[in-house]
Amino acid sequence: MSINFNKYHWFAFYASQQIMPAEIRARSMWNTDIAVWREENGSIHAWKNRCPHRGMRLSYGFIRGSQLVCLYHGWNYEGATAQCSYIPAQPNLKGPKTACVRDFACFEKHGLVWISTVAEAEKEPDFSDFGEAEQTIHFCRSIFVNESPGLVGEILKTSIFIPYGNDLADGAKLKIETSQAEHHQTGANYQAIWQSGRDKKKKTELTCQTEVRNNAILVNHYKDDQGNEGSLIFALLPIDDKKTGVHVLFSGDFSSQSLTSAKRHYAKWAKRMRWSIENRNLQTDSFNPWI
Amino acid sequence: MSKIVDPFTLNQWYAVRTENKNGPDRTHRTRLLGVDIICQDDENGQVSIRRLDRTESQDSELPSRKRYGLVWTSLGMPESGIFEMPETEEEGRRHFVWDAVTVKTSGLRAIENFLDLAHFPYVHSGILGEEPLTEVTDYQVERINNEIWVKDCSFHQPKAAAIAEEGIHVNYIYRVPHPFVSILYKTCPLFPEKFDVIALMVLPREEDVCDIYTTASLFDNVNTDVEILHFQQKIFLQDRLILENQVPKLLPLGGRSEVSVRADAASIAYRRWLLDNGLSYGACTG
Repeated sequence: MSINFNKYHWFAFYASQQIMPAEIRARSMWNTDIAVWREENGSIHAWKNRCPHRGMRLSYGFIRGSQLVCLYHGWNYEGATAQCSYIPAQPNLKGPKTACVRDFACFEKHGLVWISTVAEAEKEPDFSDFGEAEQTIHFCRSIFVNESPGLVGEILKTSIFIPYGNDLADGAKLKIETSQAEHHQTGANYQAIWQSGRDKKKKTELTCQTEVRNNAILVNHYKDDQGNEGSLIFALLPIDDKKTGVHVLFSGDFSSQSLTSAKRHYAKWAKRMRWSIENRNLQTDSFNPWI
Repeated sequence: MSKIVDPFTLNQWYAVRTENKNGPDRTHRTRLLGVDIICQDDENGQVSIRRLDRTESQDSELPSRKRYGLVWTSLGMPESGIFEMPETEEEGRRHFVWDAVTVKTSGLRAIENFLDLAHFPYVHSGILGEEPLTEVTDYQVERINNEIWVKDCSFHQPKAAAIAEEGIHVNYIYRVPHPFVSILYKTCPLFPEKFDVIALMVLPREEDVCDIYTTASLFDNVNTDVEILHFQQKIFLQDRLILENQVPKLLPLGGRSEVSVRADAASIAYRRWLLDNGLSYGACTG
């Protein structure tokens, strides 16, 4: 089964923490350039990144209160309506009705800004399948892979990783001894056995169940025989046919210090995973994200 | 040629080099309307220009003229000579020709931006405009001998030119004698009854890439050439940020994809004039 992306679904567009009040960020989704921004009070909006007046990218503009101001001619657009509310060159003119930016539905959950480019996108995605309490889900980082969204999703569905909590002393290398995967309608089940390079006798078994939710969210429930279990979550963002965003989240109850090292642990894995996907045609040995 | 060039665009003169710039072997290569061309100087400084998509037997020689410190050519059959700028001959002016800056957008977007007053307080904030003095008062747009003239523009400018020491009320006249050229006459801070002349001569390399040559004939007895260049560059780079971030790169002539208001009268007149003259190169229909 391959991952079928459906435009009617919601996609994780940006990490919430990367957009502070009165800031604008932009990136593409389905080849559409989208600006996401916060009013000074923190309210979030996702708009087509183009001023209806002279086509300027709105992401170069700035925020005043609840208004996004285009850098080119200072046209003001009201956050709640996306309608032009003020034209500095003609202060007494009411913004024409046609001067309205295309806006997209958006909301925030699990540290991510979710958007849909289709106005009639149904209810918010179902997060209950994460099987984790909301406060125990942590945003790790976003990576961008130069491969198609379908392929990236397919590879991540059975990706092998070492859960945080395992000892990865300096110089330790992962050697995957066996791995087996069984794909089914809504995901995959798989196991892997790996040994650390330092102690050749020590072997750890990882068992995973990946569920594909809302087509673009992979929830990987993992368990190893060292007593570590939880979820690793990938929220995929289709940027275009050749580029995919992957927002990496993980679950767990951590102290603030171990949360930082858990983030570092999965961030390092995510970076190597990207390298592995982009270079998957090299030696099979290199496909191991821990080497 | 990547696209059939409309006759209005094809039959114009284009600046392709400054008079004094030359590469090794006294040659200079560039691109005009999607065609590679080469300029070659002989010992006497005469410039011959050839297009490289044709062999010599196929009539590759192009016309060559020198004017306003620039070398001009055409791929078509211009009906007349290069437009006149008689004001530049006035006594006491200093003349500048600045070498091309490549901008990744349609040359038409660059000309339209040059004709625009409303962006001064935002793009050239603190120099050519400043909030809250953002209002563009009504101005006149006329077509005279198939040129566009924009008259009676005025704007408050904190620093209208390198020589300006304080904010002044500046009067502007724009002239568009050519789809890729615009000439600006603006109040000289030194002699308020006189006009400085600044012209944008755009070389469309491709539909969505252009080289912009700027010339100026100014009254300024204080600043050095370099100081004046720096003032010019600062303004230019601020505009380039805008130009390279307008979507689409081609100028929409259909009047549907971009909303206009009265302050855009010059832009609307320019677009209509291009459409009436059958221009399509560097433009789109939206």
